[in-house]
Amino acid sequence: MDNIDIKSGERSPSIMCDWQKATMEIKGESFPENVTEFYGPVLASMDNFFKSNKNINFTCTFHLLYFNSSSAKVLMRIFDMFEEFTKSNMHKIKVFWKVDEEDDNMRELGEEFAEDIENIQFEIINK
Amino acid sequence: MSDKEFSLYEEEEEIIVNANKFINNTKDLNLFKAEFLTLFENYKKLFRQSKRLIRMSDKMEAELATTKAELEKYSNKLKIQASTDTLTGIPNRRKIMDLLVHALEKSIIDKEYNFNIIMMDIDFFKKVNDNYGHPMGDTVIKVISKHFFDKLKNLGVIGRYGGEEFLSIFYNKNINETYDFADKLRKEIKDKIITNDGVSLSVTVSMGIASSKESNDLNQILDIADRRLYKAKENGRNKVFFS
Repeated sequence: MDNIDIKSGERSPSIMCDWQKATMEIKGESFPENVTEFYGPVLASMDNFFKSNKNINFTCTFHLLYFNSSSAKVLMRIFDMFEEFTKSNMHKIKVFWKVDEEDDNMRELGEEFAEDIENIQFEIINK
Repeated sequence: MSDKEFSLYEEEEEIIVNANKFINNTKDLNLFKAEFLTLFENYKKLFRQSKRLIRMSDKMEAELATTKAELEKYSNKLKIQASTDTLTGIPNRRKIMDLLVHALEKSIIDKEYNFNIIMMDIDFFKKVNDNYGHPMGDTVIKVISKHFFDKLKNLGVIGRYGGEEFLSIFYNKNINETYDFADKLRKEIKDKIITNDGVSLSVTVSMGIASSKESNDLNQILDIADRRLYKAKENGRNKVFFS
């Protein structure tokens, strides 16, 4: 399975995914013109990876500066996916929500996501 | 999931499809209470997410609005800074030239509209600097520009054109009215005692006036006013020339 290496654009974050190392990082600003087109293949690859492997210790790091509502919905889909695979004991998934020290807004948004999370480890960390 | 097109609202759509299927194909709904409950729980979760999404979106919007307001404030401040002379607080050369271009364009379109310009220079200003130092020179420039500005009120605008040179645009007045204003100002400046750091002096100014009726060309109008200012200097300074 090919790793994902999407460079950041004016409206989209960089996405790096190393399947071998079981790590993923989404970084930057996210308000792509077509959120479906941008995130669709990434979500499909993640789903495929989690379904075709077992007992993976997966780490996903988010370091976002801004995201729009559609991107927030995508993040919820990602967290739902993580929750499902963790709940069914297929994988162990850890999420790091990185925020710049002075970025209170992004910290609060991370806390919003965290409220719906039950099974995965979700940590908000200062950059 | 990888086989079909990704949709943002895939789960919500799936629930609706399943619920419809279920209702259409079920004869005795009580037998399928468990399935109904699952659907209900799923939908409750999505509803919770939707509410959260709106809350998050509001937060982002508020943050963006604050940033936008800050940027606008900063941008306005920069705009003012870019068009203001730091020493005197009146429009700088760039701004007064913009206003002159604008007035000229208006006078070309509207034949009823006209303006005059006054080019003013402080006489022997170099001597003020040489004999009393630059702080005194700065005070002289500040006092004279403030006096001009205060007297001008809404009759026109004044800007700092160069070191000790000022350019004023006098809107919709005839040349005699402009001359009367300029000459009165000249006398007032001559009689003004300017003090800096306990030292007092007085200065005179020379002025050249040109009218928009004399030319449609920016450089030409400036040149006419400049030549008359030169004439005022040549004729002993402390004078106003409009022809």
